[in-house]
Amino acid sequence: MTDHPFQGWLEKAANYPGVLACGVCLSNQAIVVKSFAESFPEARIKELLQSLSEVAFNLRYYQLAGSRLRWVFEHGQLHVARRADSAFAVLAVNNDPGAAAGIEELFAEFIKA
Amino acid sequence: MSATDPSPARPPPSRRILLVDDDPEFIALMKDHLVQKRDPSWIVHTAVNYSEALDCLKLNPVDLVVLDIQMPVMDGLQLLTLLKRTRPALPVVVLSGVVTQENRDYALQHGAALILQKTELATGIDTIYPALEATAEAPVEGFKGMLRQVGLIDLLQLECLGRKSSVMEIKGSNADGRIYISDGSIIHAEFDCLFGEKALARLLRLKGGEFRLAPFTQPGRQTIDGHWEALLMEAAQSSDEQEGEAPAVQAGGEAAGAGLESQAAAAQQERPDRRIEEIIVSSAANDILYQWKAPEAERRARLLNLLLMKSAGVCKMLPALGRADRFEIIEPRSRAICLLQPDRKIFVRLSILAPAD
Repeated sequence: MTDHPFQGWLEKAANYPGVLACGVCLSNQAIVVKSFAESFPEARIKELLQSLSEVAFNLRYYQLAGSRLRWVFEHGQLHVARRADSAFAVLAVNNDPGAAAGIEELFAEFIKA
Repeated sequence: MSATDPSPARPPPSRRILLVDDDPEFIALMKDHLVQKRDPSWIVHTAVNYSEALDCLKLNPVDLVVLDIQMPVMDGLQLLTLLKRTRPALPVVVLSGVVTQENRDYALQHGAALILQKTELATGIDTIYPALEATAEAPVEGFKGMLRQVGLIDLLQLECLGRKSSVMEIKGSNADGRIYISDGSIIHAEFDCLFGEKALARLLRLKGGEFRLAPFTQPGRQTIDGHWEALLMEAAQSSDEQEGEAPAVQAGGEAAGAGLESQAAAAQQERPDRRIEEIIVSSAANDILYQWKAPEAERRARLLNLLLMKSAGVCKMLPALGRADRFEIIEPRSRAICLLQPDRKIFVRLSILAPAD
């Protein structure tokens, strides 16, 4: 699947420090992903997005739907941003302190796209 | 010798240690270093199982016990529990090849003074002895240790959950600090020239150091008046946010490091105020241990459990991420932080107040 509005965004994420993988769950529930690290295979990132989709659904049930989510792990973090059309993007990043600025820039572009 | 005779300087006493490990090669290696290469040399007793260890303790005075976790019949954690019941003042170090989060939590809750991994031996066996010496020297009324596998936040949580009163004295590489805990509440912190929550945040950002848990004394003033769960999570979050500044200290040297203190203080002042709206602490079994302004505590506890299970799923899916620490739900004017530990889960919701509020 290549003809979706976020292809360029996925490709661009490779240029940001600390980004290991990224993905988008479109408003029609289609999932597109891109991995830049062997330990983050694309098949797993797709599963991750499905899991995050369930988490987002549950958060709405608990009346805690956030426009941004951050899942912090020992060696990395998962950042999620949701658009008004309900599409959401995920960035898997390592704990490199330099990654933070790139995340903001990428999510700003995702929201506008 | 009469009371007026000048006393010759005494050599420092030898440490008496009991090593309990079912691996004879490891015992031989440790013994060799402690007997041959330490000055003064240590008196080393060894045991390959719990039975020999208990017999040895009956016959010999010992300053320190070092236990392996994985042993047959009675493992090191069971032996730790037994020893702390019968000899609470005897410092016990857990030294094992594999230290899981569960084992670490269990050992700390059951009185281990220190938890070390055998893998540290691979990077230099001598690095382990200062930690053992410090632990063996510990006074009865407190204990000393090195911050290695044991995080300062873990120790503080244990002190607070146990509703204890103590003063945690922390020695970092460049400055010293203290955290005062009264009846399970953090009431004061000081570090270098900082006080209160700023000092606590800086102390919790230390990557290593030495600590001593001393009996409680009243501080000159009380600078912290908040819920410890929220304080610790705020500090953890602040640590994440400020890690980006650390390379500037290294690159700029000490002068830049001194400047960072004021930058951090200024950044703190520029941040909008945050108000805690609700707190829930739940156990591994999802019992609510503590709640504050939480009308939907049961629902929050269910959410925490769901997030913990989802986290375990993500860890299996992407093992390179390591274990889960927390989940944050972020809105422009609010933030919910879910701390996800196997033995307890904490939910804190904060409002971020605009200056006009």
